[in-house]
Amino acid sequence: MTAYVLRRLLQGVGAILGVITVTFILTYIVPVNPAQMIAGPSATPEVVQRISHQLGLDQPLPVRYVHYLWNLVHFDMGRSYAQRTQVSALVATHLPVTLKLMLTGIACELLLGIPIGILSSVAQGSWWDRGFTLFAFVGVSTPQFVVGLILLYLFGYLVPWLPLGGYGNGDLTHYVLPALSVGFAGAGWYARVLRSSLIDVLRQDYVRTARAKGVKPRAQVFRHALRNALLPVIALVGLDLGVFMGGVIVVEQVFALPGLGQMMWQAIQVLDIPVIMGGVLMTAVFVVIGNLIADMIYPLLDPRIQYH
Amino acid sequence: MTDILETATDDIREEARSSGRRSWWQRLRGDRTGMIGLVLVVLVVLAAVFAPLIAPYDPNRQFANGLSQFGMPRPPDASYLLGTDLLGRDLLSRILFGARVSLIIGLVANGVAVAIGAVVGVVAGYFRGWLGTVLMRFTDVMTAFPALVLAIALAAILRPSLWIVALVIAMVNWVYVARAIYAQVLAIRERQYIEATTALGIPTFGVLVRHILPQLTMSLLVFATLGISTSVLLEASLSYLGVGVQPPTPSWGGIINASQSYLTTAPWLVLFPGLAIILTSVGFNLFGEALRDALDVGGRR
Amino acid sequence: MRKWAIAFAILLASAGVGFAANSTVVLTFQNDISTLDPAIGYNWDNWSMIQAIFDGLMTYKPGTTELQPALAKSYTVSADGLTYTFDLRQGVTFTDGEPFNASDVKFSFERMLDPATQSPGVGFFTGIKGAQAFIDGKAKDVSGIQVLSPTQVQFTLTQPDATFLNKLALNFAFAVPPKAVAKWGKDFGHHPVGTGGFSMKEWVSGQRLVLVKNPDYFVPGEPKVGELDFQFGVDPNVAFLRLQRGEVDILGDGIPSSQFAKVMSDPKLKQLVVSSDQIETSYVALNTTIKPFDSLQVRQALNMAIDKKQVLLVNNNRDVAANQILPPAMPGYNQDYKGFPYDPTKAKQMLADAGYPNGFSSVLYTSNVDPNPRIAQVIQQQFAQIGVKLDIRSLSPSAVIDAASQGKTPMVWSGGMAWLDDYPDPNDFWWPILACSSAVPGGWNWPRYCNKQLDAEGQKADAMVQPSQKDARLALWRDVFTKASNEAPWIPLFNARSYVMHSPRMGGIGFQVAGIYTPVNYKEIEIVGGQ
Repeated sequence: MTAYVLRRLLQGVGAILGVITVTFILTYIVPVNPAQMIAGPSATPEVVQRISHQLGLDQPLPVRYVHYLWNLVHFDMGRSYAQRTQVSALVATHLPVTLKLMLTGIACELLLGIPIGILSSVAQGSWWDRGFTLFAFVGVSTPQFVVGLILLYLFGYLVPWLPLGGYGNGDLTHYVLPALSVGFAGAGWYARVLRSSLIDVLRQDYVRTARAKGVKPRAQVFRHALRNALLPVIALVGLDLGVFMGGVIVVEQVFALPGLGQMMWQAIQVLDIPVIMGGVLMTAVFVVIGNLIADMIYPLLDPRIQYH
Repeated sequence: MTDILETATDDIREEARSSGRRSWWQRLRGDRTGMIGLVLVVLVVLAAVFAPLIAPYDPNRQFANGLSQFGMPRPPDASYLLGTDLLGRDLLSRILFGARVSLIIGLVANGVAVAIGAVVGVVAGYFRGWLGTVLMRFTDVMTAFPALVLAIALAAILRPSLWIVALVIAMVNWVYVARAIYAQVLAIRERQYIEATTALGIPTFGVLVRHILPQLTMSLLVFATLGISTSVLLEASLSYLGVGVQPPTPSWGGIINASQSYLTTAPWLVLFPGLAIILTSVGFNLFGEALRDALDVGGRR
Repeated sequence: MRKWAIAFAILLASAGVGFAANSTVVLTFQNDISTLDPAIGYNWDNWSMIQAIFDGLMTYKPGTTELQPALAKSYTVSADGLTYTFDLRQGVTFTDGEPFNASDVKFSFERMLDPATQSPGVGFFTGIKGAQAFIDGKAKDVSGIQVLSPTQVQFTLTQPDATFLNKLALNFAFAVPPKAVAKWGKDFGHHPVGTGGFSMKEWVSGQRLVLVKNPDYFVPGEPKVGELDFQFGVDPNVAFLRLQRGEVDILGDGIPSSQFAKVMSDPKLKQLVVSSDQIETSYVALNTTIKPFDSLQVRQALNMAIDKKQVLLVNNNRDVAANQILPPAMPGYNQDYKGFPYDPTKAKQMLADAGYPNGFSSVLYTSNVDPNPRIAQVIQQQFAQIGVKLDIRSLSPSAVIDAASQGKTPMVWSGGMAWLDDYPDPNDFWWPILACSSAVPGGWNWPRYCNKQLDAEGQKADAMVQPSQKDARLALWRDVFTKASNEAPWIPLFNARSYVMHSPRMGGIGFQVAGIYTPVNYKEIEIVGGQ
């Protein structure tokens, strides 16, 4: 088990290294010299040249790459060209927002998805079940930004119960609509996953045994089946983090939440490469951690899968 | 959501098994939601193909009477059925022509993704060893890359055109196909008869073509349908972020991107293209799932 | 000045907190600012915030474009226009308690000129004697800046410059305290300390910035409010709704385009709007070194092909159609010049005469920040009518600026990027963007226009430094710009107007910005009414 965890961790680090490499190569292809932007309109070519040199932009790619990694090992993500501050400082202010949106979003997925999944598995084939199936289909078929904009219009403008987006003082009311927007698609999807895995579990022997022993149907579902059926859902949440982060970025854009997505988006606008790198790195770390957790859980639920 | 693809083959088999021995076509015909999906798909395809005939106006024409004195777009009325956009263009015409962009990107991007994914998955799954490890590690790296971030980065660097956007989406989506196919090939390979073929000395290529690929056809067909929905959604998100197909080419996400700041004063500019995206995506999802049930990849052989 | 409005159209808001205190003014911006370092900040949003925290030797009389001394008490200019001697105010301290003196002036200039600071303002000051040697690392200090006594400082120039005093009023020339700079190093921009009317109390990145009144400010009666509370991450639409609810005093990003019609047709709302001409021209740059724009006839034809009314309409009819390079608010503007009238038929004929009877295809670069892609599409549609097919490249502002400054762009729509004055003098519309010296890689002369004769005329004008020569100098510049306008390196489309919307309780001459402040002069806004 320990060896397995260690190996997965190493693989995770490898994946992050891969992400850094890919991003690095991508930013290198950018045909724009950020030194020009920093130097301003009245700069002479010499000044631009000098700034280029200060930023190390005139060095060959491998040198810059090794340099970046070296700094990274020392917890230094470099300085932002545009914001004139440490990337780590920017990440520190934007990360909590993204984390909160992630957590509230996942909470929305599960709080909506699990009850719906249970209800439709219990009432399999009923009118409820069909309604929920439709909901699930619309959920996975609607881009987060459309959900977000519709929610904004309804509950921010027409019936102004909630803030029209933004961060304000950062209280939870600012996360309700964004979290619903990122969670909507996932809720539908997990409801379907849970439904089919519940139906699966309910058919299995030990549940039948429990039923034969006279355990009441509701208790059956909750005590015996649900525990086993929930695990794949939770594992899936971990595996889906990559896709989920994409949604978070779009929704931050819809609601103007000052999270990592906004940070990266603005950085892309001004080709602030250290910030783009920092943002990609952070999201990759999340995804790797999520996948790691999923990998830990998977063997737990199916004894046939071994830690190897 | 691309995850649909991943578990596509497992969780529905069970249900499909119960549907007996009718042919897949009969089962598909009998699936009412699937047929609704098919109708939606056909409608979108018709809109895209016949856009020049159906659209009331040239989608790029800026009408002088399409904007009020202070540049406000016109709400839906008799002359502009779905209203006008921020440049005084007919929204209905733009949405109809936008269907072309969505469909082309959906088909091309997903086709490329399925092709790459299938090759990587089959090669990695069949040969395993160092080649398989390298391929699947690379796939892991790509999954650790938040799909949209990758797409934004790519699109920001490469100048976004229709084909570039399709390619970017394919670059993101093949990963999920590769993973699922890889798992399937591994499973198929475990079966006795493949080992037997190896023992009999049948050449690798022959085994791949005659014994492995046929078992994947149905899965690939399902990916090819369901994945269109994913690609359409990703295209919409990219266009919404402004890194998709560039104006004046009409695209649904692009229309929303351009007009979202008018959400409270001209909500139709967000609502109608939003509906178009949802209906298209629902259509391909419903039809794709029905196809998956009907083809029942694991159940019959 | 580049005016990045890296404005992302999004909906958002902030919690409904009322006014914290009566003397606190609440302002909203969509995006956080990048820095408050006067040597570095060069964006439309932080420009006037820096002016509120720091001072230079010179400033403008509030509400006007008239120069007056600030940290200087008085000054003298030598007869040859090469030497400027300033007597400094005494008893001025930075807000950290450090006294201000003449050596701080020299320190501030050398810090700004030091390549390590990466100041975008260096180009304004290379005319100071010894500045170039210092920048090149050939000298330890700038020989042209002499500290004569703790209260006296002298600048020597390499050639006369009629706008040198204007340049001293730029943010880049503001005084910074050596101790605080040493303490914070590169992060000084996030921990600013100046002599100004306000000092920074709090800055939470991406969320809020609070500036409080400096009670010891040397200008009596300024500032007129106790606290400025900048809230970031607020979408213009939301800010607008909150202003109507009485929670916001000033819309930092202006009136959102979706609400503009509503505001302008409602008398009650309209009276809360202060509009003024900006010293700005938005234009299409035609690269004179790329075919077919090397042909004067083609450039003139294109000038006649755009119905500017349609362009204005797409931007809410906010702005004023332009017919020449200089904006009307800039001294030297030619009242009698009519430019090229809209006449697509004649334009088509001229294109045919120039050898393009079927038009041609070209590429138009534009910033991807709204409304610029829309305006580019109007241009595209209008050109299509005379057979000119445009491919629009809508990129991030920095990508467009980079491409254009390398001279690679056939056509550039300048909206959102250029050109807003740095100071109200016509030479700021010549040397950085139209002179031969700026038609080099990295230069902002996007049409790559170079007319040596006009350059010489401009140099002659700038050597006229005596107050008595002012009118003659302006006449000379007017002539330069009229001739240049006729050569059509640009298609001038409009001159922007700024619309600042405030709560009913706000007033003061701070809202009369005279093309110098963005969006307002924070030291001169005041609370005039009850809540």
